[in-house]
Amino acid sequence: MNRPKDEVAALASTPVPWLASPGEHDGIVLASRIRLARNAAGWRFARRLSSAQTRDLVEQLAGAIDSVLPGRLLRIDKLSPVQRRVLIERHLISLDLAGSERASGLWLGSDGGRTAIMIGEEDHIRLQVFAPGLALERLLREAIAIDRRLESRIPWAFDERFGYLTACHSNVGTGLRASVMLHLPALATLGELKPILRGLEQLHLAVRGRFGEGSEPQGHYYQISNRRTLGLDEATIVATVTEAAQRVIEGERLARQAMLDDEQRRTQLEDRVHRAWGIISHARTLSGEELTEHLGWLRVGLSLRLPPFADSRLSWTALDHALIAGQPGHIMLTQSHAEDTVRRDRLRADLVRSWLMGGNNDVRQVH
Amino acid sequence: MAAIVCQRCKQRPASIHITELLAGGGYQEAHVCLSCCREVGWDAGSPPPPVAALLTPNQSADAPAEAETKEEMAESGEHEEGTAASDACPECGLRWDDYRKVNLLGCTHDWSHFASQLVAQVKRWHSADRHVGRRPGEAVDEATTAQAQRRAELAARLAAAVADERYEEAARLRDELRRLEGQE
Ligand SMILES: [Zn+2]
Ligand SMILES: [Zn+2]
Repeated sequence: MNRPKDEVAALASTPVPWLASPGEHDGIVLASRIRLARNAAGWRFARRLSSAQTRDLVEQLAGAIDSVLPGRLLRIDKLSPVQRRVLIERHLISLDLAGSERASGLWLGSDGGRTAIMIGEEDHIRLQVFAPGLALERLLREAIAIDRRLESRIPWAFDERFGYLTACHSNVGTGLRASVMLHLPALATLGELKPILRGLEQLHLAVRGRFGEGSEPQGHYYQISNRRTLGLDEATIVATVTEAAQRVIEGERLARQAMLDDEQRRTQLEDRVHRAWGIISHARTLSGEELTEHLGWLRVGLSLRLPPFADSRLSWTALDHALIAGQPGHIMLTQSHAEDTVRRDRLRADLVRSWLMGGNNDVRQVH
Repeated sequence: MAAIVCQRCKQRPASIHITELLAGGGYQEAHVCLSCCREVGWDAGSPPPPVAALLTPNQSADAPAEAETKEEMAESGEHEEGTAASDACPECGLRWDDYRKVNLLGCTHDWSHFASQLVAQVKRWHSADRHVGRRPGEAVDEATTAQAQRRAELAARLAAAVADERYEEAARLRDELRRLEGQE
């Protein structure tokens, strides 16, 4: 706990425990996350505390968490920008917490980061549990179980009318955010995403790109989550997001099949996959954006067993690893002299080839 | 593609693009910048805010909100306990105007001190103003979960029917959903 530098570097070279593609949905679902926002009664919200009080709060909360959830505290305010970036890239902390110069922490469950609690963000804690695949219901039970143990130690601010009180009106009530991360390249390619997203809006769900903030998220990764946290119970919120995710998954499956069944579409799909493989296996520089984009098509190729992957040694584990470990923060923390973009892009190309082609840097055709 | 200017502040480039369905059918889009998203209370780890909340310009956003607040306050009459929108919270010193700027309250007491203003805010965001979920100490029981799944399935079919403009089916599903909710 006194050597945060080593801890984050160690973390950066291990796989994320909540990514285990393809899972039972052909790689369409990457992961699920449940997040609960809670504030300790009797304390001001984090942004309204003095620095000394914030330090006190973080220590007290970490002490209480320690007695109910095995793990260790990383003090975010003591980490370097690159270390913070690694935690963002592993989806463990928010941009907001990463930018904090005041005392703030991440309680990292000893399950390797399947459970992680942000301390001292806009709410006192944000309890998060992650799992591969579509597992919101189980995660909700896990999160509530941890929360019940926590609230026996820390009385949370709770109001009969408004429920669990939060610093912003958008999280009040259950304080629950249920998210599913999906990979939807076929729906996006066929232009069928928009009507589906409209259907989700009907259910008060929100969709956004998971990598990149633009309208065309890189690699077609999307996150579906609930917008409403008040006026619905936890089970309903989770069931709604799950049901919606299942429909979107089915839509993506049908879209993939439609592409395979149509000669022109099939050619287009195979071309994308082959081009992605060509670049990944031959390029000598690779930007983060390119990597995310091309890994997406390799996932599709592997899931549909398209050539060149019909019987290649390319593994899902390697694709999952590259998606996380190929991000800038990860490369900067694990490789030396990677601050420079040109050098980093070169390193990324080399690393990705070694991960995906089994440590052999020779450029070979996989058939 | 030329950079689109944020529709809210009309200054910074729009980096966030949101598509949202309108209650009466059709959809609207918002092209906004991250700073504006933050102003309406979006933290980067959560879903984007409703388009309506984003596209109501800063100044005029306050006008209808204030009006709603006053109505609420007139309605609640003596429950106001002398709280005016300009009174600071005695616990943390926050003023309502401060909250309108950053969407972050100062302390849990604000939820009772500014209750009438917050009710309006909360209704707009959640289409509800009362917590119905878990209370401290409670678990999530299996019966609730099964009911919720059935409801969610109906709601998803309803949403799909509305999106595809299959209105007869939508009406039938809406009735079924109401019946189910009535049974609880
Ligand atoms: Zn703006
Ligand atoms: Zn206050």
